[in-house]
Amino acid sequence: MLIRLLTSIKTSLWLFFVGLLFFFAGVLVIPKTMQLYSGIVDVLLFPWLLEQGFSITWWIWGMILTMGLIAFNTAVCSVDTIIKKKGKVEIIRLLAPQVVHLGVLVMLLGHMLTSVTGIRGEAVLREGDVFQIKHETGFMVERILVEPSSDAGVTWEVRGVWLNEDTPSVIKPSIPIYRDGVWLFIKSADTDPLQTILMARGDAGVFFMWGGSLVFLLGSLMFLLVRLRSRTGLV
Amino acid sequence: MAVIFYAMALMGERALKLSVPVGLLVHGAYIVHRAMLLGRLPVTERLDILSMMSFLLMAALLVINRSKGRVEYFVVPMASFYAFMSIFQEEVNTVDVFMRSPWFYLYSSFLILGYVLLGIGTAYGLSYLLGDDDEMEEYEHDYLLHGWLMLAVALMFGSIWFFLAYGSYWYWTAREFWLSLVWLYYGGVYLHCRYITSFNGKPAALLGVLGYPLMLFNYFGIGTVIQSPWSQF
Repeated sequence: MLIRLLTSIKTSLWLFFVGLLFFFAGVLVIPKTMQLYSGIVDVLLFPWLLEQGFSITWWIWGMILTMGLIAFNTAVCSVDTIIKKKGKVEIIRLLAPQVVHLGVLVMLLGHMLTSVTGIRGEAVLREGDVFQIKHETGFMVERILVEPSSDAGVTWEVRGVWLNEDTPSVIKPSIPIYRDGVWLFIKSADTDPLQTILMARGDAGVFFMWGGSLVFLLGSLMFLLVRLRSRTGLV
Repeated sequence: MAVIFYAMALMGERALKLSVPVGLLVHGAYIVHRAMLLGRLPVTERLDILSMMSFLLMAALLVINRSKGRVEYFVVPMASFYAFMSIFQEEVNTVDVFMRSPWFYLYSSFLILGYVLLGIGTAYGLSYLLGDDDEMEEYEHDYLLHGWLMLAVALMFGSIWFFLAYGSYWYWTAREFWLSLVWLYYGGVYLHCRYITSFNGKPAALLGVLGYPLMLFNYFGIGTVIQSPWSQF
């Protein structure tokens, strides 16, 4: 009975439906307290959730629980399908949806890692200042450039060096630098006074997110091939 | 002007084959003009995104299979609506410093492509629901599947862009949640339902069609009815 429930696609559909409701709740709740929620990215999610009252975070807990159940249901369904259909259907037809599922599971794992562990830091710095991120990792700002740009109005650039390293590094908007598990981003820069805000992030989850995305894409391509073949018989 | 040529497509097959290419030429010239003015691919502001969606929908009409249905009766109004709405959008012409990233352009382009494919799928679904050939429902499934995948690719590129720009691949905004809701609806609900052998025909077609209002709200509702940053994409 329990196995049948766990491997049923109807269970998946119900979970998706509940998931949609929690996403919808998020859409309604977030704009009312935008300031509160926009700050979550600067802290770790789970410690933040524990600090806040349940009246604020109920829908996030609900979403996490639903996503967890979806992940479990997906894994069980995939294993069950492979066991039941192995040798009975063509291998690509059998594996394509499972690879898509695997990609989603890895992405969810990435989200989980991002929520529980990592580094979050930010500092206002002037030329010559050092941003000490963790014990042996720091970055010295040598030069801050704020220049006009034809399409963006202004552009920023921060030049400096990682401590204990001679090679100069350049940080630009959307082009962070990476060392020892730490990403360093430019958040803003100003001329009066000449200073910049740098942001440090250590996030192991992001690699799982991107890895999961690649697996998902691979599965999707396999899936499309199967669909194309069954529709046209050409491939 | 392009909209007038697009609307003429509803006057019959011959009119469609003549007026749509002319409309596309006029519209294409406008897009090229915008690209030259901006000095980049025009996918960074609402005006251009709507215009591009309209252009691609009409371009698709020339290549998709229309032999057994009345899909043009839905694609033409959709494309005309987007073109018409683009007229009322504010011209920004500058781009935020964090948006000057190839990942952003990939995100925006695939999102447009996803929207267009979902639009075509919906048009096939509506055509089927109004009594056309069963094949229309299969086409609906095909295009919604492709559209959903393009949306997934867009979200992936978006997560890369967002992380490299803002240090987080996920932001707690109504916009992000609604887009995820649309993705979950098509992938989680529609496609999974579609793979239940007994679930096909009109209920399946209707379920597919119902995703489009969600997608439209993502574009026109979030940012206006519900406040959210990044609501222009």
